[in-house]
Formats: sequence, structure tokens, C-alpha cells
Amino acid sequence: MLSCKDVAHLASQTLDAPLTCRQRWGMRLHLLFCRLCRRYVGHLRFLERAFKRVRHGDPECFSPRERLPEQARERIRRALQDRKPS
Amino acid sequence: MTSNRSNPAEWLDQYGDALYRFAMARVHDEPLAEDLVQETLLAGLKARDRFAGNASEKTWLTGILKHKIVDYFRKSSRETVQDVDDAMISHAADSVFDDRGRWRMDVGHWSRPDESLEQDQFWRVLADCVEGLPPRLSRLFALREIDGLSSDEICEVLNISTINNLWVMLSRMRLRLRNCLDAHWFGKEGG
Repeated sequence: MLSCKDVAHLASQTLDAPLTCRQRWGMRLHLLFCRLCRRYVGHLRFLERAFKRVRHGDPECFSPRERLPEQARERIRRALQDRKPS
Repeated sequence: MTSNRSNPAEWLDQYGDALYRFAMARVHDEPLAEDLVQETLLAGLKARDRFAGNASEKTWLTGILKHKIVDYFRKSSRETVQDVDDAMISHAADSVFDDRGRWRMDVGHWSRPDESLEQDQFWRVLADCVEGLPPRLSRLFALREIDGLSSDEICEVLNISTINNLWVMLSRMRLRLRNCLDAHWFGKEGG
């Protein structure tokens, strides 16, 4: 019988690679009896939906207000001018 | 000459902020993100003649930046990561599960989590949670969840010794993010 720790790990792994039949059935059996693991699986699926938006939408929703700081902008401007072919 | 090229002198004003945000979402380090933007623009200047002009200039520069970020991750993962990974893999879950592998923490109920996806504040909390990850795991997040690299590519870039270790590290990363959201978002929402 798989432990919660095993199932939590498999629930994550299933997002990265297919499980073996044995792992899938072991997980299903455990989930029948374990409410916390059922919730955990649901939470990971939710995270996956959120990450998908980051991946396909714009990760800019992650840090919408950040701008290149002024000092860095000036420094980069000078570096670009120095390197500019005449 | 293609007509959709702009003057490199204007790149900084046109794309500087977007490139900076792209870098910050992945490296979470201001001076480093600034350096990466600078290197990208310099590389773009140098390679300007090779820009085919069939992609947008922004996409082209973003592609260069993406390579620079991956190169940075690869270089800084070359040494001394094995011990860090081993330690993380063997110890990190100890506080979460007991000796027999049962949950030591409560996995609370989240009500209607998908409604959170429409709220700006949720994304800010998630971004903070990602930023709070240990560096190895936040890089893993960038490569897997933002850029969608394959498992093999991630192992190569981050110098992770086996695919099994990669899975364990991804599992740790998701567990941490789940717990962080539980503590700072769903718990507070009265979920």
C-alpha cells in the first residue's frame, strides 16, 4: 500500500511523465480512502492550471509594474553607444 | 534592408521594460536582470545583420534573452549543486510527512480556487511564493513552468544527475508552492 508521501510524489510526477499501471492503480486505491491526498491532488491540478496561464498567457501578470530602473537604463544606453558601429 | 527594423538606439526605450520583466520573472535578481538585458541588447546590436526580419524585433530580442538566461543557469549549475540537491531530496519533506509517510500537516479545503485566477492579487501572491523558493527550485520553476522545457533539457541545464531526482525536486517545488498559497492566499480568503 502506498503512503501519503508516495502518493503526493506520484501526483506531482504525473504532471511530468506517464505513470506505470501499477503506480496508477496504487494511487487510485489510496485516494479512495484518503481525503487529504484527494485534496492534495486537486491542489496540484489547480497549480497546473495556474502555471499553464503563466506559460501560455503572459508571465508579465507575474510582475506587471516592474520597470527597468533609471540608473540601469542610463548605463545600458552608454554601453550601447560605446559599442555602436560608426 | 528590411523595413521593420528600428534604430538600435531606440531598443532600450521600446523593449527595455519588457525584457527586464521577462528576466525578472525568471531570475528574481535586479542587478542580474539588468546585466542580462544589457548583454541581450549588445548581442542584438552585434547580430543585427542576421536578424531576418520575419519575426518581430521584440520576439527576436526576447529569444536572445531567453538563451542568455539559460546560459546563466547552466554556468551557475556546473559546480557544487549535487550536495544541495541530495540534501533537499533527503530532508525537505521530513516536516510534512511522519516516519510512516503520513501527512503531518492538514491539507485544508480550498473553495472555488479557479476564481482566484481572475484576481490580480492572486498572481502577486503566487509570484512572491515563487520568489521565496530556494534558488534551485525557482530556476526549476522558470524552466519548467514558465518556459516549458523538456525534462532532459532541464536536467542538462541545471546539472541534475537523474530524471528521478528531477521528479523529486519538481514534487518538492509544487509542495512548497501549494503550502505557500495555502498560508498566504487560501487561508486568508477564508477558503
